[in-house]
Amino acid sequence: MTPDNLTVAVIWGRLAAICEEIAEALQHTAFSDQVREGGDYSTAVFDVDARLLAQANRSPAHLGAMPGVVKHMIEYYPPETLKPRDLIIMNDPYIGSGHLPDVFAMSPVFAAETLVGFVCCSVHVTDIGGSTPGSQGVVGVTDLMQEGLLILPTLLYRDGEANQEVLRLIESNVRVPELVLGDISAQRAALHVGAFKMGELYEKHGEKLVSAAAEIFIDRSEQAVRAELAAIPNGSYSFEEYLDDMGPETEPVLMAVTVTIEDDSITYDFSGSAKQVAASINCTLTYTAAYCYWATKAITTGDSIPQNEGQLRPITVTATPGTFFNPVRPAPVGGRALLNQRIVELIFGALGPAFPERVSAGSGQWVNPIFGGTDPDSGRRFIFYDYATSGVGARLTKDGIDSVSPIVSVENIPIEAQEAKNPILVERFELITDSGGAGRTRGGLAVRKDIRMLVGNVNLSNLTDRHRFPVYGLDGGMPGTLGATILNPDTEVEEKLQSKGNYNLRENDVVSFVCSGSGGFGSPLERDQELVYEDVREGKVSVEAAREFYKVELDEE
Amino acid sequence: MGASKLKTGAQLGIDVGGTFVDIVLRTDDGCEHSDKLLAEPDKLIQVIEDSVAKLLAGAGIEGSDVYKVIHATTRGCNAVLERKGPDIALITTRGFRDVLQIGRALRWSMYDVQMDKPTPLVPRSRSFEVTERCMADGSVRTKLIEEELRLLADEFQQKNITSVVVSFMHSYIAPEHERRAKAFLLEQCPELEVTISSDVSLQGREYERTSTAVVNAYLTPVLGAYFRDLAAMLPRLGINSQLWIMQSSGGLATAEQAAKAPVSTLESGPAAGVLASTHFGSLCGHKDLLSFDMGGTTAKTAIVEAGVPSKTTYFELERSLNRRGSGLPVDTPTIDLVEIGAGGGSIAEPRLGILNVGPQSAGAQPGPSCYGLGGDKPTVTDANLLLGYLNHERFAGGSMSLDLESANKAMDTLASQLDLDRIRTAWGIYEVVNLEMERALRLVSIDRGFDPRSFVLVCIGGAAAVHGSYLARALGIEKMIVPPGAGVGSAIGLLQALESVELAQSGQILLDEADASERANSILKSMEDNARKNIEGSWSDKDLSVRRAVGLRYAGQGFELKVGLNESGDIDIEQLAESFHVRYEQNYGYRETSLSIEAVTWYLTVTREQEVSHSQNKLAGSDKDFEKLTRSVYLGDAGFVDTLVIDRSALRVGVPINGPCIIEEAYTTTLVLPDDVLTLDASGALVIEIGSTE
Repeated sequence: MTPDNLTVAVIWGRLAAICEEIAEALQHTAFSDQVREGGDYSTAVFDVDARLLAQANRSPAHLGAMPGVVKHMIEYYPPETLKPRDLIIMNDPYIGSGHLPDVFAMSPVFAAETLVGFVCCSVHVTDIGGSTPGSQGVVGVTDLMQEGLLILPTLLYRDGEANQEVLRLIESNVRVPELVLGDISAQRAALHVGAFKMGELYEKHGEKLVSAAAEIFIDRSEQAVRAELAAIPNGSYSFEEYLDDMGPETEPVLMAVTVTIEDDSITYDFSGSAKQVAASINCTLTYTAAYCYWATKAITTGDSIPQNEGQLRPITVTATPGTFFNPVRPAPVGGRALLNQRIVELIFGALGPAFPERVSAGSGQWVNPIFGGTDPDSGRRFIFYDYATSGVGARLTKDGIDSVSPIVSVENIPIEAQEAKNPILVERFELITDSGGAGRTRGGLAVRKDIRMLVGNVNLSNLTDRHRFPVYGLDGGMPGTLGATILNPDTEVEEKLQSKGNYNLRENDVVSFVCSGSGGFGSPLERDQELVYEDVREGKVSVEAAREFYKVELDEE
Repeated sequence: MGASKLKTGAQLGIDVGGTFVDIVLRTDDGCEHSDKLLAEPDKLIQVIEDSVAKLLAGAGIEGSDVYKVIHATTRGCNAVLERKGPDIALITTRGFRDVLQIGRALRWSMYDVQMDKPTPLVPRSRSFEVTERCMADGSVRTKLIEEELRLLADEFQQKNITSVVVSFMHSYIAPEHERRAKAFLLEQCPELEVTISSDVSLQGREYERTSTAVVNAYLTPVLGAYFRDLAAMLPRLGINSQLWIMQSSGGLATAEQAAKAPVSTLESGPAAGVLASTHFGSLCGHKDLLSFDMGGTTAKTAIVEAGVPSKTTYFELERSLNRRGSGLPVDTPTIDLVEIGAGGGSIAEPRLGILNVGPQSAGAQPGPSCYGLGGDKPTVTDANLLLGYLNHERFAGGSMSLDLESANKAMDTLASQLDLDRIRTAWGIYEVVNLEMERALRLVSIDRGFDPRSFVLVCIGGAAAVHGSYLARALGIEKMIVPPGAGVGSAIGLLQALESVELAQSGQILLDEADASERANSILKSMEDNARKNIEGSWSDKDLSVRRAVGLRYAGQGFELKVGLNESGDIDIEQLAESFHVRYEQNYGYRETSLSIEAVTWYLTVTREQEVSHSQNKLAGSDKDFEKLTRSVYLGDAGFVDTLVIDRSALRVGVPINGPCIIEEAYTTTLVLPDDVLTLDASGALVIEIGSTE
């Protein structure tokens, strides 16, 4: 039975909608700020062959990893053993999670007692144990075992009933169990909603028709990506740059990619990068691939159709085992989130000169610090998981974007909410003048966030980069500014902190996170003077920078 | 009831949309006189004045007979869209002047390298900071330095800035600094318009609260002047009634109240449509309703539970592709509308060889291909015409005829791209757009925890009733209502609006605490006192009714489920907890028995109940048999079927008619599918029992 174009549209639309509905349920029942306010989670639906049918547009890392995760889970729990309302969790970085705080959950979907597919979601939990609060410490971590509780695929709910022993084990291994177990409970609620809705869809149309429809839209999606790739001339494009370091007194880490386009397929090879490192910042191949998927979609189908398996088929991702982008167990991986945009920047750096209309110049580095301590008033442990996205690099025909992620759809947690729950005070959160690389089109502005500790003995695990190497501009555009992390800025005891490091903070210490800036596109001398005036008027470019980079003279007024 | 000899009075509803003004004059004997005019922005007041004069004359009554004038407008949304407001300055706590520029920093279109953030209404160059700081617990950490405000006031005078928004951190719990800043600024420059965020929103989310205050300030001069001009026009027609303005929440405010908080009127037009649904649903004896309003470019769905439209406090202006984060957030009580870019004018195109409908719309210019104004892409209206649902000689009350040839041509082009035939393509458009609207109906019902099968579908707006019966089937809905005048539903809905004051207040209480009941009762009591104070002097405090509800969650969660409370007296905590558990379980399949339940936001609405509606529609049916005209109509698998076409005015009250049939009237068409049974209700509404549900 071959469904016509109309039936395909109906089924495809409903599958994409179900992913959004799972996402909404997850966000509405979650306990941590990063999930319910920040959107640090993902949802997807699969058919009975673990083929990715659709996913909601959330964190690409989780999404790129999910197909592998579902396949691994059903290796442990064969499909014929699964029952309705079962739920399996896992967080093993080497079979898909990427790092321990990303907990994946999966439930089987039944239609009239037949297994028809799977629904899956992942959340970034606030803590999963290990040596540093938040489980993302980079320095001093040389083995995965130091990073926290590792969960191989584990049946957490059987027929809707919780395995209390497993929950107790998690409870006893994490710093803030109420948040972690709360978010896992939200996963259960979300997958319940998803399994019910997807089951409904299959019951309505029948499994054969849904499968046939899926075959069609997946194939068409693949063809769409291939058609775009075929329009790009065959060739190899390489780019390399450095990660600042992996902690105090360590060397820069070489990161390199060669992108090869051959007819209608694309290969990303990261083998030219450094060997895996003895710090928790290695990037598993699934995580690496996730952002290759992102980049491929961005330069081909973009936002026109939802992501699915077909669009991954033209893509090959390789790296020699034991290298930075394909480490082998037990290399630690906790801080790898830093690298998400860097993978895309390597790719855009390689392809940019050849395909300037499809990419942006390099984007500012995001910061992802975690503070952990105990609130003396309540005696409760707290973990303040924070992040700030910098800006986006300039595009060929328009400026970059101020303060937004170049790749992921996480959003800022309101400061009023952060202060209500943590003993901290945010003293400023602002755009940084002159942080956007000059160019015919200008890089987006970066942000600065200053945070004061209201209690003492707080552990900061800092996680950011580009304190040493700025991001590139394209086609003669200037690089972005460097970032910095400064303890007690503008005081006599001002001190520069490392981009990766663990610090003990005292009461009233202020930490200032200055994100690095984004790159410009084209020569600044070609920029429309009116735009320079406006930038100066809006405080985005200073009078001095206008003179130095754009050769535009302005009065102080 | 029935027609009384003496006309005791009349009500006037004026709905100003983007393109048209709809005016309805209803006399107390139930007669309705309506007019539809182009909304020419420069002459708007004059256009309304002329039309009302004409309607009064037609009804044979004097202006002084009009005892209530109610107005809804989309001018606020348009003013923001066109950036027609004043230059506003923003003053924030030191360190946060970029609150609008940074926003929530959401990448709302994840894979689109070319995406941009929404453009704030205040640029960076007019954003300023002063020294002050309050904490999340409401305490003051740093006192407000007034001297800094003095310098800013001087600067505003130099730069001719006349409107200022003050938004300080944690002002939702500690508003004192904002109030002092306002008083100080007004001392310095009495001419200045000063808006403080805590007067407009009590959200503990600094970006959303600031954005709401800025939108309010932006609209104040635009809408304030407009409301004043409109109010001043009324006496010229001999109308002594004051002007009432519809709010997004569905309640009424006086023109003065609305001029101070114009942000609360942004969605007044769509809200009026939901009120029309509520009103006619209740006349037909139904209180649980799904309101479905479909016009030319958008479809709006809303849920009405126990006769009360569901509300929300968050929406976004200028949203793109219905994506969160792409628009400017506004935090104000609003009827909870799910709005999608699918309407009669939505354009159908191939996407990867697969049919896609909308969100692009042909609008009014060039409009659907069948308008014959040059549109060469097929739209939903074109599909409906080719499927036989619409009468090409009788569109929009017969004011325009539709061009079948152009529709055919456009449809054939698309059909060949899709490798389908013309009619299959038209049917595809009909089904795909239905799917979109089904999604909107699901979002507003199932996703909010309501089972659509226990609701009645009410169709409002010109295009809804052609799709309603099909949608009802898809959702398992058993009954559908098409009110009289559905095509101009919003203007009629205005006449159903009641004076009301809505309050929302945070007050976190764990239900298992010993004093929970006491504290809850005290919050509700103080809210009711505030509401009554608000009413004093504005409108009569007779016949007031109070509704109360509370947003609950498991302690530690962030989102709340709203649960209704008894209307008065002490609340029963145990029962409340159980209601929440049940609601949560319905939504998510589980209840969390080990966690405390936390009450977070308290809601209280005071409404002045209108005298029981005396309006019985004059068009309550015919006493003759109707003519047996038929038309060939496409009914899915059955193909084209000769189908009865009846003029609405020819229907008899209470006489059932079996589907399939088509009911035609001035501004809308109703498609009744096979196995459906249609009856004209005494209220004038069409009531359709849905024959078979999927």
